[in-house]
Amino acid sequence: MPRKYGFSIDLNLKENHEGYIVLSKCPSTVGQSQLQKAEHKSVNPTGAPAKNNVALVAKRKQKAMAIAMKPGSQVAMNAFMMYMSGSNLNIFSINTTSSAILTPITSIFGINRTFANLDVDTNMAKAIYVGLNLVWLAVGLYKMSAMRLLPTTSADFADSIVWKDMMETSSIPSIMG
Amino acid sequence: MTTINNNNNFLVVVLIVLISVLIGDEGVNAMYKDDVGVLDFSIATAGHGPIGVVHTNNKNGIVITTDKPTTTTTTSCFVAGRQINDGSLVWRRNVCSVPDEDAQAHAIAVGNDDDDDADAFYTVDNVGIVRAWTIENGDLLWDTRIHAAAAAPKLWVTKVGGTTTYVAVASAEDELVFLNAETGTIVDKVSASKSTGNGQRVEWLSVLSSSTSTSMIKIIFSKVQVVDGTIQTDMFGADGDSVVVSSLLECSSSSGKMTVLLGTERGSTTLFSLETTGDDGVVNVKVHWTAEEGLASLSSAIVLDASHLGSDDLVEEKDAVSRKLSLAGRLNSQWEDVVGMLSTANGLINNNAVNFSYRDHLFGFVKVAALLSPKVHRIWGMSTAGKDRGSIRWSLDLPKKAIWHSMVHGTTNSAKATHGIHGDTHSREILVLSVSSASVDWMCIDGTSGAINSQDSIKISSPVVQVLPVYGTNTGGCRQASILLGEDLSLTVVPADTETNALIKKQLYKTPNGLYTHKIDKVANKVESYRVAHTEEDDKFVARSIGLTSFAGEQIVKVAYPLRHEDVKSMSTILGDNSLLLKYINPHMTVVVTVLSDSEHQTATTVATALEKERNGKAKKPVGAGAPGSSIPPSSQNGSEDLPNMFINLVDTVSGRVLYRHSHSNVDGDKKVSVVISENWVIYTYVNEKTRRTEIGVLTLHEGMIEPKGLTFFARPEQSTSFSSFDARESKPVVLSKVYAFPKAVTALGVTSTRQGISRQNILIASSDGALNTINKMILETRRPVGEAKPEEKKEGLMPYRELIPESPLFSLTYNQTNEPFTSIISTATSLESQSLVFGFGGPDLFFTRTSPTKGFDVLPETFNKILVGSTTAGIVIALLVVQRMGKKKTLKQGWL
Repeated sequence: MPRKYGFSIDLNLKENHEGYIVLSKCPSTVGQSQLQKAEHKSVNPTGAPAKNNVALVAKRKQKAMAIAMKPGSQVAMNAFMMYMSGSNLNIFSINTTSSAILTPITSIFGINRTFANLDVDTNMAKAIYVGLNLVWLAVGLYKMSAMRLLPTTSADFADSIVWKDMMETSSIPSIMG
Repeated sequence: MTTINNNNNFLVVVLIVLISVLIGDEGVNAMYKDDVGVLDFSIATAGHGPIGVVHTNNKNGIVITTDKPTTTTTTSCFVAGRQINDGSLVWRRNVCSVPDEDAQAHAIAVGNDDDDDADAFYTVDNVGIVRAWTIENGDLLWDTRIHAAAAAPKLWVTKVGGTTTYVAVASAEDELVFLNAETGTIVDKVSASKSTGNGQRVEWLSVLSSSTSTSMIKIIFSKVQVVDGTIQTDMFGADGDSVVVSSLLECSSSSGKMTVLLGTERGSTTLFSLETTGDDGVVNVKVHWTAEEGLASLSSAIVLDASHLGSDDLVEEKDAVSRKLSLAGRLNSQWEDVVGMLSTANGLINNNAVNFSYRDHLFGFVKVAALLSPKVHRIWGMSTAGKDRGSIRWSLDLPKKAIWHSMVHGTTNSAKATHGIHGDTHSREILVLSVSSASVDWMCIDGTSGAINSQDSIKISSPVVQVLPVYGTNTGGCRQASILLGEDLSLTVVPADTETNALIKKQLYKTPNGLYTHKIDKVANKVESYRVAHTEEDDKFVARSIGLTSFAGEQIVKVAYPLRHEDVKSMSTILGDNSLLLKYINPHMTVVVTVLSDSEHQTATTVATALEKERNGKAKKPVGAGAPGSSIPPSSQNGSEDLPNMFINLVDTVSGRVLYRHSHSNVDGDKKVSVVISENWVIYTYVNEKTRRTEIGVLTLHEGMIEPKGLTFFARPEQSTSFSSFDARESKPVVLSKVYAFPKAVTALGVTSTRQGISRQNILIASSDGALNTINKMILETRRPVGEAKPEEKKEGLMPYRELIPESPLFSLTYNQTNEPFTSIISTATSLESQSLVFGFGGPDLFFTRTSPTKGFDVLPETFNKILVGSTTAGIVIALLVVQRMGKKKTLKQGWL
């Protein structure tokens, strides 16, 4: 006979639960991954993704590609701004050039954080993202070079002209008067 | 209510600012006016050297002085008037018509028989120009030419008939020419009885008013038999300073006061008075003023650092200076400045600090100029900073028997030519040499105090032809030593102690190929180089001949050396297209300027022949056509007169080879040629007698060029790491040249010097109008483009080539001062990179100033109004506090309403 009063507690952690992301980053306990695989097989023994699951993955991949392509549009806009700012040193050209250098570098270094929420394979997207950021960086470096801020010519290495050792000694004579 | 309060606040602020302005220093009146006399000083001497003749004119309170007229020695034609009261120079006039000092003579006569009441004085020169001048301000009244003056000019002023004054001038034709003193018209001529010939001539002795008749004059003359012989001019055997002229200006028996003007042989002019006081007959001597007339004949000057914080050779002292120049040191300097300013204002804080400027010492502005005058055998130390700038700190008398004197200060070039030649020394010791025919008297002096550290005399076997400065020892006789090269190629070490000998032996092996010296023979017109060697057998230094360059058929007129103290920041010049032009820095290079001895030699010279061949081989250009900026003028139809007659020879004094030779045509060989070498630039001036203008020739010497992409992270051109004068290929420069025209005659050239050579160097040009001009080096650049400048050239700052360098008052360091032309310019660095000290001398006037070739980027200007800024800041703070308090009160009041 069933009990009249009772409690039902679902201990499975869902996406909308608080701490889901933090807990998902925690290392799995020993054997948990095998258990999860077994559970996954029992639910879907043929290995084909469920209809909803496939849509979610596709959506996530699409989002990853969108993030990866984002620097591309920024490159074009930034390049136009740099072109308009001229090659002289002024507040506008310094601003655009420094953003052209710093933004791709910070983006490349923060790539994992950018793609962290996408629980899909993002390697291709990351590669495109890095590539486009490198293109952006190259444009920035070209601009720096055009502004003569990079050591690319002989004038930047004038100090490496050697001071010669004198093979002979002489002394400038004193005035006799 | 609120509006009234706001207005009150505004008025308070305005009032505070106005008060701040009023209590501050005077505002700036003009661009440069407030700088006048702040950074510079000038000293005007009488110009004639030691006094020979004195006339006192009590009517105008002026004493007129001039050189002693003589036919045997060089005399100066300057006549000067000084105030009797304070000795200040009222006027100075050159009364001769011939510019050459060796060919001029003059005589002077003042007023009537009684000088005191005269208004005018009269002069005559050896050309026969008689002039009348006012005593009050030296204005020219009239001038007249008599037929020819006597070899030794003489004139007298006499009054006839009690009213008319005449000037009697001795003529070369045994005549006495009388001129009306009012108008200068020739009135009469008086001839003595004909001389008998055989070298006999008339010597006019005196022209006096007759005491018996007012319409008569007395003329005294004698017939002199001229015999061959020499007159002993050295009348002073002893080395003391003897009185040459003594003039009694005032003598009153009633007051017991006597005023006397003394002029000494070494050029000291002193006015003093003797006064008896009381009944005990005690005589008080009071010196009113002293003037050093010998400063008009300076041959060389050395500027030494005399700051208490300055660096000497010691490394510890250099570190101390670095610490002082830090931010904390500078703030301390500002505080000391404020303290000094307040003490000057009211004497409350520290009166002793008034004459000590911490800032001047910190920034290396405190210098002492050691000045040598061979004419009066004296050396002076002159302060150049602070309130006593321009005053004589010390003076030393040199032996009168000496043929010449020399101040030695420097050493051999650096073995590694890092940042210049580095042949200078920070030591304050100067070795003063007085060389006579058989001996050398030397003194080792502290150039800042004049203290004699050691002195001695050394016998020499032959006349000295070259003085080679070398570094001395701390333990020996002097920290400054020298090697003297004799005519017989003997080498004498001064001081002659074992420590100095040992040190020089070490210097022989400072570089792999040894130590070299040279001799420039202006009689035989040749340059000969020698290697200094040491013989172990007799422990002596010997000179061994290495190379010889002969300028046969030419006359050496000028020799110039690089600046030993110059700092070079970079070995290359960056061009507009980012390529590098490598500088050619050769510490052994000298510039020898030669002119053809006579026109007959013109066709004999190689250059002339080559030019003639070139001319015959090529089609002639139209008359007047020539390459712009070309130093060779366009050839005329009569080609012979355009052959080069002046040559700029760059000679290596180690190998004795000519590195480069540049020629000019139509140069007036009689006019002065000035040369200065700065880094890889050679700048020289000469007078072109065809165009009748002064031209400035510029040569820039280069080792080569590196393309814009020739030296990068990935490309390194092959560079030689050593320089040898004997390397025939690498020791020769690539030379660029350009010629400019200058609107004034040039008397001397110099270049500004800064601490590390980072600031741009300016070229200093002393001109015949007495100005000292500073010209941006870029104006004289040899790469100025002919025609329109390309964008790369514009980027570099190169202007299109214009032949004439425009004259601008902004170029003048002497602003509107009237000076006699300077014949020498030296420059020295301070502790600040932007500041350079410049000293012009060599004429009757001396001028010293501080200049900033690239503006004062590291120092506040002297005229910066600290009081105004300080009081304004304090006023604003006070106003802020007052307004805050008022605001609080108002808020509180509004709260209660």
